[in-house]
Amino acid sequence: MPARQQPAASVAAGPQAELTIESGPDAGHSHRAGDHAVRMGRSPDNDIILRDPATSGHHARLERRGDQFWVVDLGSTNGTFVNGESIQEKQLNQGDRLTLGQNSVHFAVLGA
Amino acid sequence: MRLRIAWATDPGLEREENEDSVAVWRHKAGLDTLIVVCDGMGGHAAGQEASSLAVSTVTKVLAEDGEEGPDVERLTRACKEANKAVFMAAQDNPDWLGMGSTMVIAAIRAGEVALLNVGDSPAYLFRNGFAKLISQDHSWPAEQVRLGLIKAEEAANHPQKHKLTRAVGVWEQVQPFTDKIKLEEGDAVVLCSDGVETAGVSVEEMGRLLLKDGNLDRGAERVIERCRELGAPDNVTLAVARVEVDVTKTAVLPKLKI
Repeated sequence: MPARQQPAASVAAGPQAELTIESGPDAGHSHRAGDHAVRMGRSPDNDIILRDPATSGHHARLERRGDQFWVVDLGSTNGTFVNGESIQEKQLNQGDRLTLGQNSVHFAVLGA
Repeated sequence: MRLRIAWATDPGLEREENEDSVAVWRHKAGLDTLIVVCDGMGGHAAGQEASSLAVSTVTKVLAEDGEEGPDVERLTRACKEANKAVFMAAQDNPDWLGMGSTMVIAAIRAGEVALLNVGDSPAYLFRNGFAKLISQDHSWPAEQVRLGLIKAEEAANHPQKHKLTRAVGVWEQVQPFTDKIKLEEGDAVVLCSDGVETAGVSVEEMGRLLLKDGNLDRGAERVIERCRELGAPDNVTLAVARVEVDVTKTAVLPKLKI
């Protein structure tokens, strides 16, 4: 019987980013984002759970496309904002500030 | 007629979760302004689920119904869809059984407000320094007062005060209260969860804190701060739309006497 293939060690396959909730009801939390898309919202099945009455169940998603990170609004009720501007989807730059409901989230590419 | 909008929410001092949900839209769904406040109830995370689902369903229906303007029939249809969505979700998940939500909506265009409410989250109109309840209270004692069975004074501290006779998502049917109001310059429509009253902030005090200067955002924060000062045992949420006073038209500004 052939030995079972070991799952490949999780090697980061591209740039990694960090989302830091700077102010709002969920302030103080930081989350890594990179090889997998990160979904944010109020429902418990999100990667980042936001406990904020102005946030939708599934509010927004951060995903990597090539070497760039994008944020996509998932049809949220109150919208997703990047540096104060309402967006459907938008490529993010180092230091951008996302607003979801009452939470303000700082975006940073690690090692950049 | 220009509107200013502000909102604020806080879990309060005794609750970890915030079971309220709020939506604030500008220039969408054929309206100048749409504000919605829902206060959820139910065990586990059910209350939050119920209010969140109620708000998202109502706003989705209004965004997609292809209609325009503040129409009470339109709000009623959206409310009934929300009732169905919450009721069905509760049937599908044993943890959510019996969950429900209050709902209060103000849809505004060209100085006209369509108002809808279910449950005990109040809506107030502040005009010329006076406050008026413009929603219908669907708590058990309030219904008893309307039926003439008890006096208004007996309702204030009634043991069944938090028992609702109508709610979104608890029963298969829902019967919302609706009304239509014409706004005047300086008017403010305020929707809130019952956490403001539970904290001990009177309607008059809320009006004073909200409207004492032109800064509505700061006003909403002042109400939250006052609720917290008083112990805020429940979640507190409020959303407000205020008609700006056109100073080019009026020689003398109306004075607030709240």
